[in-house]
Amino acid sequence: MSYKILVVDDDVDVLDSRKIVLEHNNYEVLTATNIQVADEILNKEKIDLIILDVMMENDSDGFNFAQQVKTDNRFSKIPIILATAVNQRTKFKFDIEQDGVFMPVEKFMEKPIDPDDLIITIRGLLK
Amino acid sequence: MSNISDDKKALAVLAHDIKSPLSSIIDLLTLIDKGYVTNPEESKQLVARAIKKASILIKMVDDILDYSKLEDKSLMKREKLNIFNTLNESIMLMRPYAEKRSIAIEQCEFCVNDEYVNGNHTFLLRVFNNIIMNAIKYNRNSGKIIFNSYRNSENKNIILEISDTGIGISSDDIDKVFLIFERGSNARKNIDGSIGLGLSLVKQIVEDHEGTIEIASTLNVGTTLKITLPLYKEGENNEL
Repeated sequence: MSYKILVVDDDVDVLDSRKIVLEHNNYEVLTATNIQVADEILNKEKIDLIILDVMMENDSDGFNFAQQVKTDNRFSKIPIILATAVNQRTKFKFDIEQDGVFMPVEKFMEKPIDPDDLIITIRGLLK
Repeated sequence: MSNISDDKKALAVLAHDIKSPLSSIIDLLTLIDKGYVTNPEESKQLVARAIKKASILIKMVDDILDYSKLEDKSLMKREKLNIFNTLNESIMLMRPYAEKRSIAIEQCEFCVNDEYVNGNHTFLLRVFNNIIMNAIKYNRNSGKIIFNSYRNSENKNIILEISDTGIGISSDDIDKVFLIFERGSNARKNIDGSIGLGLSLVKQIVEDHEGTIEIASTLNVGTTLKITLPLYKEGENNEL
């Protein structure tokens, strides 16, 4: 059975690009263009990993969703990759070493994300 | 008045808004480069999407250049201008975009429509284009854009109101709409390449014409922009 990955990004081109790469590597992919849809999918499907854009409809949506997932016992073990176009913005440093406690996600990746790096990262997280 | 912190924030937002479509272009083209997509027809579609994203980037850069031009007042020569000719020109330019979404443009039949201001045609055309484009982008399919115009009670100003039946702006966001690089949270959902310069550009141009702009909006009902411009006075100095 293949792993199920939820990709959340408000840019349809990014969603389609990720979908092509992930399906090429035999992952099942579900996509959401906003947090509300992502939340619905999370509650309906058994998700193994989330790739989340942090600059969605407003500055805090991605972060809030990540916090919500990590503080819910049903989902807290799902690894999250936070994808962002800018690696340093306001108070968020996007440094896993420094911000791991504040934002307990498994990986930060800066856009554009190389497909090979993405797959290596996902394989590492789904071991 | 901006301060260093505002400037840094504006730069961070600008960097993000430019880098996002650039990243997206790289994502799309990498699929072909790395062999994830080999079918010629699919490849062609991905290239077309990348070109569309690149066009959005060009529009962003044009907005930034236009904004920077406003600093140089010598570029804004003014003359006696029929404001309704400029408005009608803008409506004509924007109508095809409205028709694509079945949005009706309704002009007030009994309103004043032959008034002159001391204005720069190019910049005022930009004002109307930006406002009407916003009224189209943030409208509903089959919505309306309604124009109203009248003189103020002292007959010194012409007032133009442009209303839409769109998504509206929340009370939390309404104070920010004229700030550089700001968009309402509702507006961010409409990804189209806007970097939040549109209405700050509009406000700057209107104020450079000694005018004012006000906004009133109800979330999920619509938005009205009210522009007040001084009427042309014979013999007034045409330079800014």
